[in-house]
Amino acid sequence: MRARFELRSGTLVTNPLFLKVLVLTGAAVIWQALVYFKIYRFGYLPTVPQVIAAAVDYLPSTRFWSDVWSSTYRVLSAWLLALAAGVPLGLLIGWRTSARNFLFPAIELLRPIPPIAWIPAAIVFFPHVEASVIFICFIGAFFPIVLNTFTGASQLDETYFRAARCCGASELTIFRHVVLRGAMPCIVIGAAVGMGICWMAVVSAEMIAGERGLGYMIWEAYSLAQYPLIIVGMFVIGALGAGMSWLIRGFEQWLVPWQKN
Amino acid sequence: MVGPVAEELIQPLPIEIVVRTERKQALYAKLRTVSSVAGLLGIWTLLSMVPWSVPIPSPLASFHALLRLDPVMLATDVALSCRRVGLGFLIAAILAVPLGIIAGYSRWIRNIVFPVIEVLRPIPPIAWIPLAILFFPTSESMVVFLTFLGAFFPIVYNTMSGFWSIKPMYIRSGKSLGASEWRLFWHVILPAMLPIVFAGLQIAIGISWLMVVAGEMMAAKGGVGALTWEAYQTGRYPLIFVGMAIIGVLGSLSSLLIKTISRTISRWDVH
Repeated sequence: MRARFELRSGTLVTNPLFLKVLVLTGAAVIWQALVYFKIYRFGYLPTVPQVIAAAVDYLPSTRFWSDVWSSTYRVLSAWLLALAAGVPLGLLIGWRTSARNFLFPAIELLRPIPPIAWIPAAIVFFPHVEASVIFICFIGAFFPIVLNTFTGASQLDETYFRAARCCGASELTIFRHVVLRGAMPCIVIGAAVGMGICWMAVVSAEMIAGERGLGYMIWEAYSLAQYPLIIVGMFVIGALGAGMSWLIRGFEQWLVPWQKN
Repeated sequence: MVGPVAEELIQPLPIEIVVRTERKQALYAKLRTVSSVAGLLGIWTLLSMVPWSVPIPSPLASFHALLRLDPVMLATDVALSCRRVGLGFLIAAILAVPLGIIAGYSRWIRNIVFPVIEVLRPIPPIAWIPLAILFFPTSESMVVFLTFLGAFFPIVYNTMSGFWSIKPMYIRSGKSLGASEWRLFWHVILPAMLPIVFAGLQIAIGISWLMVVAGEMMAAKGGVGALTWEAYQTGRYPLIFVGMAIIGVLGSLSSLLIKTISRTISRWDVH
């Protein structure tokens, strides 16, 4: 029992690298066997060698880089826009009760609508595909960022404000040094969650309306019956998403060094 | 310690003044809420007046579109989507909560299961859609799989982090009171982790709704996602907003349902 609970402080997965490789190889072998022996409907799926061949073909191609670039560009610009709009808004409604009363109900009305449900409206009412895809990603990232920032700013200890006022801080100083700093850990969480949803939104928007990008690529691979390429695309999307959250976690250490995981 | 002057200062306010200001404040809060919603509708109306290339339908036009919908068809679509979400979500909960608990207990299971989960988890569930269409024989099973997939990972991860967030002191006190392994689980570990498990379920049902909309828009027949998509394809634009509103309402209702269940079951949770 004790050993189990000591693991809390460690990382989630404590196994050495070779065991990881072993398990993943095992999973690949099982997949291959399922497809090869056509168990249930696994015969419809591509085999491991086919996927590897498709990856060898696709990854060095210029198509790969342009797909990665257009998806990344859309995600990043939507995410930055969401940060620029969501963080000030979240801080404002967390800090000022009257602003909260005015803005929060409207936000709560729009929030439950998932970004995917905005796709038809975005396609119709935005003149460019680019704008509609970025808008959908923006919707995806905006609400987690606002909500987390709001939570961070509203849960600040009242003593911080009093202490700052005692030291003669102006409202602007309080905003910068108490509200913004205090909410920063939550802002980082919101930014990370928002980035995840942004990736999800970009894939769906590109599948439906994209013209280019990784989501469009896997949908096109499906339409053209290049099934191994679908799986390559899925892993590329996963790797990029994981890379982005890894970057944000790196930023977290730099932005909120006083927080320990 | 307190002098006579200070004592006067700390006298509580007369009760009627307190009640009056509280009432006033409650009234103000309500007024602000109403004006917030009205403001949203106002912005929407203003947007509908701007001459875009395709004019945005006004709130009123969308409301008319809702009224013109056949109620039986609407109810069928809503029921279909709810069934898909409910089924996928339940399967995910039934599989993922025990998996999270077992993975919390056993290092071996963790070592075997987690490398695979860690590789699959960053792939957004939406990216599974083409593969799911290939694999599943019917669009119905495909959509249920998608809702399952969306719900699965958040539940596993929250269950595990719930397991690990239990204070070791609770375990030690349970043990020193002579609890067996089973009683320790049932009376200490499970109650302590439930609030976090429910937080996971709350996230999961949101993603399930997102997935059902995506699946219905892209590949399935019927459901509120398909309703919205068909509205787009047939050019009945006010209906798009009706579909979005219905999706939003259903999503928040199911989230409310989870919250209510969570409050009923884990009453000790302070949040």
